Parts: sequence; C-alpha cells; structure tokens
Amino acid sequence: MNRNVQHSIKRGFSVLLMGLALLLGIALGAQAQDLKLSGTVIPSAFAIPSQDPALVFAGLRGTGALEGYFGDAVSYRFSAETYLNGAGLAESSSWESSTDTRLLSASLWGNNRLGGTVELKEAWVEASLGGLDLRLGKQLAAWGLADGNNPTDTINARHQGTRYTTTLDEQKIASWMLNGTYYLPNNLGTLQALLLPVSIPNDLPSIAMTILAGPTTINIKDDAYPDVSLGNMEGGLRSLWYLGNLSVSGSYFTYLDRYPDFVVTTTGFPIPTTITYTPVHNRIHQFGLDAAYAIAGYDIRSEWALSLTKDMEGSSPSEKNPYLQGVLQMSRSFINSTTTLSLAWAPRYVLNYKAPEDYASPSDQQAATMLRQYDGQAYQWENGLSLRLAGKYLNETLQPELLFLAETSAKDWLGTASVSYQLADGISLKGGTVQYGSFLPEGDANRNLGTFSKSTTIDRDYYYIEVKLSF
Amino acid sequence: MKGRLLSMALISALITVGPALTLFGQDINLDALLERNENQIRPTATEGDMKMIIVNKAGQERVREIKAYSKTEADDTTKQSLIFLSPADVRDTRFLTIDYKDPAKDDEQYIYIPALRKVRTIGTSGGESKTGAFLGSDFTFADIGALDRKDFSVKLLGSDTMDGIKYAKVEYTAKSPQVIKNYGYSKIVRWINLENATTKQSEYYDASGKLVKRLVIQNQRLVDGKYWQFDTMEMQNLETGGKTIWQFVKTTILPTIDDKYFTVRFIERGR
Repeated sequence: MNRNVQHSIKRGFSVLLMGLALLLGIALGAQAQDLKLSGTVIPSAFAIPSQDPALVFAGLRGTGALEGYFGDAVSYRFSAETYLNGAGLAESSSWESSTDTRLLSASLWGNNRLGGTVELKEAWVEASLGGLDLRLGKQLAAWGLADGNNPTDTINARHQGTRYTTTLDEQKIASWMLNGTYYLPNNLGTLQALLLPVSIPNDLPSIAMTILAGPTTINIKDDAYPDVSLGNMEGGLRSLWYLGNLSVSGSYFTYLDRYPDFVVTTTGFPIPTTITYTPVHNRIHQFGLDAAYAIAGYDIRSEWALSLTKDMEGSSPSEKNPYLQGVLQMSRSFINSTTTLSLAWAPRYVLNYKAPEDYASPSDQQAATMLRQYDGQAYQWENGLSLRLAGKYLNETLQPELLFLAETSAKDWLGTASVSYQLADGISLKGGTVQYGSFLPEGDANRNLGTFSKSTTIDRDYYYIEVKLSF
Repeated sequence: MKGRLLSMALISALITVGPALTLFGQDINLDALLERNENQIRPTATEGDMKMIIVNKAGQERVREIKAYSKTEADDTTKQSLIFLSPADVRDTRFLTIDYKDPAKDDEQYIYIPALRKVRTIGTSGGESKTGAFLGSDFTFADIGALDRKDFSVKLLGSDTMDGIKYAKVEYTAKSPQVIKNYGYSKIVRWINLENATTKQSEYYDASGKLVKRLVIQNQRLVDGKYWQFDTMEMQNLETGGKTIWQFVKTTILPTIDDKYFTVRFIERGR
C-alpha cells in the first residue's frame, strides 16, 4: 500500500472520528438524557461457485449508532456503517482510496474491488413542535404499506450489485433531507413532507466501457452525481390514514431518477466514428397509492406508483418512458400463525412503448436495442408473480424463508432460501442462497432482457453465511 | 308452625340468592362474580418495568426488558403501550393497544418494527394475525388484549380450592367458528377468586378441544386498599413444554398520565 493511499485513508478516518467525537462531546456536555449506544457486528462470507475465485466476500459488516434526547422535544441520531471485505485482498498489487463528501464516506479499493468502506450513515436532529416533528440531516425514510416490494419507496437510493448484504437498511443509502411529519389526532394517521436538496443516485456497478463495432467506437461513460442546484432538488408529500383494519396512503414524490438515462452524442458522418453514451439522471414525478387491509384471516396489501418521466411521448430510445408499477399481495398464516404463505402479483406497464424496430432511424434502433437490456423497459407489460413461505418456530428462534419470483415476459426467475436461528439474545446465525434462472434456452439473446437472466446475473448464484452480533 | 316458618324462610332465601344457585348448595352468583371480575377497579394510570422471560423445553431462557404505560379512561377504555428495551434484537420494538369498552368501536393495536422503520396495524376485528405469538412468547396478541364475554357462552363448572383459597371454575365456550378464529381457542376455563373476583388461573383449549396452554397468576396483593396487582404471570405452553413468564418488577400508580404515551407517534419516536 503506497504512502499516498495510507495518508488518504488516515485522513478520511480521522475526519470521521473527529466528527463523531465532537458530536459525542456536545451530547454529553449538554447533559443529554437517555444516551444510547447500539450496533451490530456481522462477520459473513458470500460465495459464487461459478466464479474464480468463488469466495467474493469474507469480512465484516457493521453498524454503530449513538442516539439520545434533550428532554422530550429534541432527539438525535448518528450512525456509522462499515463494510470490510478481505476476500482476494491477499493478492492485491494495487490499492486506491476514495472519499465521498456527499455520502460522508471513505473507501479503499484493491484490485478494483471494494476492500472496505466507512460511512457516516445517519446524522440528524429532530425537534417536536406540538404534533409536528421536524427532522433535519442525513437520514433514511421508508414509504409503502406493501411487504418487501415497495414501488413508492424511492426516497433513498440503494447499493445495487455493489455490496453483499442481507438487510434493507444496509442496501439503502441515507439522504440529506428535511423531513416533517404531522401526526393527526386520535391516531388517525400522518401528513408528511420531504425536501431533499441533494440528489443521490443508486450505487451501481461501473458501466463504463468501450465497444468496437466495425468502424464505430461506442463509448459508455461512467455515472456521476447530479449537480447540487435548485433545479435538482427533490421533494414529496404523503398522507397516511389508519382506519381500523384498513390503512391507506397517497403520495407524490419528485426526484432525479435513481437509474440513469443516457444522452447520446455522435461524431462522424455518414457513418458515425464515435457514439458516446453519457449517463444522466432525469426528473421523475411519482404518484403513489397504497393500502393494507386485514379481513377474515387474510392480510391484503397493495402499492402502486405511476412514474412520469422526461420522455412522456416515448420518442427517445435513451430515455425511459413513463410507467406504472405495482404490487398486490395476499398473505395468510397457519398453524397458530407460525407459518405464513404470501402470493403476489407485481405488474409493470410502460406507457407509449416502442420496440426497437419501431424507431425511424437506424441509430435510434441500435440505441434502443442496446439500452433495453439496462433500462428495465424491454417489454411493454411485465408481470412478476411470487410465492413466499416463511416460518417462525420455537418461539421465533428459528425462521426459515423461501421465495420464488418469476417474470412472465422475460421468462426469467429468482429463487431465494434462508434460515436464521437465534443462538442467544443478541446473537443470530443466518445462511442462505440466491439463485437466478431463465425459462429460455441457453444462447437465447432475449435472456439479456430479463431482470434475473441477463449475463451479469444468471451465472452469479450465490450462497452466504453470517453471524449477527447485536449490542 | 315452626316447620312452616322454616320452609318459608328457606323458600325466601332460594328466591333472593339468584339464578346461579345450584342444587349442590354452592352460593355462587355467576353474573355478579363475572361483573366484578371484568370491572376490577384499575388505577387511572400506571408506569412499570417488566421482564418477559421465554423459557424453552430445555430450560434455556431469553429475557426481554420492557417499559410499560397504561391508562384507564372514565369510560373504561384501557390503553397500554409497551417498549422493548433489551435485548438488542428486539430493542425499540414498541406496541400500542387500545381496548374500547364500547362494543361498537373496534379495538386498536399497533406495532412499530424497527427493522422496517414502520408502524403496522394488527388486525382488530378478526383475523389470524391476532392469534400469532406476541414477539416470540407463548402469549398471543389475542391473549394480550381483553376477552369479550359476548363472544362466549359462559357456564359455571363448580368450585375449586387452591392453597386454601376458594375459586369458581368458569367455562367460556366460543359461540362460533369465527370466534375460535379470532381468539385461537374453542374454550377457556378460568379460576376466579370467590372473595375478590380476581383471576388466578386460565386454561386454553384449541379448536379441537385439546388443552394447549395454562396461565397462572402469582403473588396477588391489594395495593392502596383498592387495586389488585400481581408479581408474576406465567403462560405454560403444554404443547411445546416451554413457558413465558411476565415479571412485574416495579409498578408505579400515577394519578394521571399524558395521553401522548398512547399514540402512534409515541411508538414511532419512542418519546
């Protein structure tokens, strides 16, 4: 490891530690009440047998949180998250470090693999004024009444395909926001408003590449953060109502797409010599509606999001069309509610859809053909059907879960299985697997249009084991 | 003359004692006893520290520390909130239940799940979700809530003596399959103290009529001359061989309590 890298790492960690120490000093100095320190340490291992080497993650994931109150009216929370992967680093011959001022994180890369990262995940203060709570800072928010699949829960970006994790909190990236929640009297519900001055897109694997296609060189540039500007601010409103057995909410959220569209520029005529795809995050206006209802032993949940995009007419092959996405779930528990069976239908409909051949120019057709593998809009209609079986046995110490999800247009599938066992209070063991597959024959080019069957996923079935220590 | 007077006195006594008098000479007025049992004087408000100890068949224990607040309104609506303080696995799980005396109003139950950062309502008027285990214990959500007598046919089985104290043995039989679904039991048998009308023990029978659980209440005592409290409540799971013990470590009776402790906001914020 060279000196510059060491210096960067030390500087990054020093800043984080000094910041935490300062905050701790403030908290203690102000005689905060109910100061609470908590966290998790999760040694874990992930393996992809089809890869060489098979072991892709062996290390520690962890969180640490400090939270407390000043009286009843003011509360705060600061949490840090770490991700340390030792797999493959023994052979590292090149090291790089990076810091991210937007996420407040410092990372170390070895052989182009993420070796470790430390992030100040949450840092917020909340003040209560009557029935209104105002929370300011870096935070996580959760929308949606459905279970597991929440089309309206787009406030926080996620680590997608860049980390090996098993919890939703670890996948989510905290955002800087002002979050105001007003609680209606008599537990009727809440009214919530969000303002996010800084947009953070999903953390995706690098897509940068150069493709030589005959006389044409195709350059795909790497993604970048949108600028911080008034025009890039995000915000939303949600109202949630508790009406006996029925809970219902409606929401609106305007944000910059967490996945990129592309701006396409060409040089050379009549045959382009260079085509450059530059990722860009266009604005989405999302209208959401969700509900949960319990009746006669059935738990029914539904959540829908209508996303209006920049390309409302569907005229650009490199920008997403508006789309409607939803989920309808029905669950029922058996055997004294120890076993739960859930069935779900998750459709996605693309408005003003165009197949690649529907575009007028060959360059648009080529762009549409290439990008439909990445934009999730290869098919006008996609229907996801899932079955989930979960159990809580032995006083909830043993919790197995099976999930099978299939897409009817892409004809691909995802299967997961896991078992967690509570070894003792604060210590649990969990193991599982995620399997990807396709109903299309091997070699069928349409496999690349699926969510689970594209070449970057289908051969990446993985297995994991972890011990979670909570304090 | 003397004989006629004795007969008339006996007949008068028979008329005035009430409908629950059995031919075996037990002087138990069931309706009155159940009224007293269901309408025990409760403190207006309490704040307490509790422990929930889950013991499996092998004797291994898992201990949950809980902070509890309760309030009884003037119309006998009862409100309770529970905050799990430890261990770390369940810390900050918070539960709110509101039992309305008015039968026209549905009871409310909410749970805040920290891993999801969301509040969920628990099915109030029916649904198997209420028969699910309460946070891994041998109590169900239905056990935590109140038993509604109108859902059951009630019968006096007789009397019983335990530790020198006499109890009425009362059988509650579910009136319909829907009631069995709501509570998870076809029948509950209760031992009710004849003197103070508190419940000492309950036995729970599943849909097939098999005895599956037994609840035993220990160390009852009268506080401030009017409130009956107890130290321990033990639910024995006769199917699994395990049990769950609720220990009331410290209970403070308050003249009043802020309504904020019984709101969704409180269980979501924890304050």
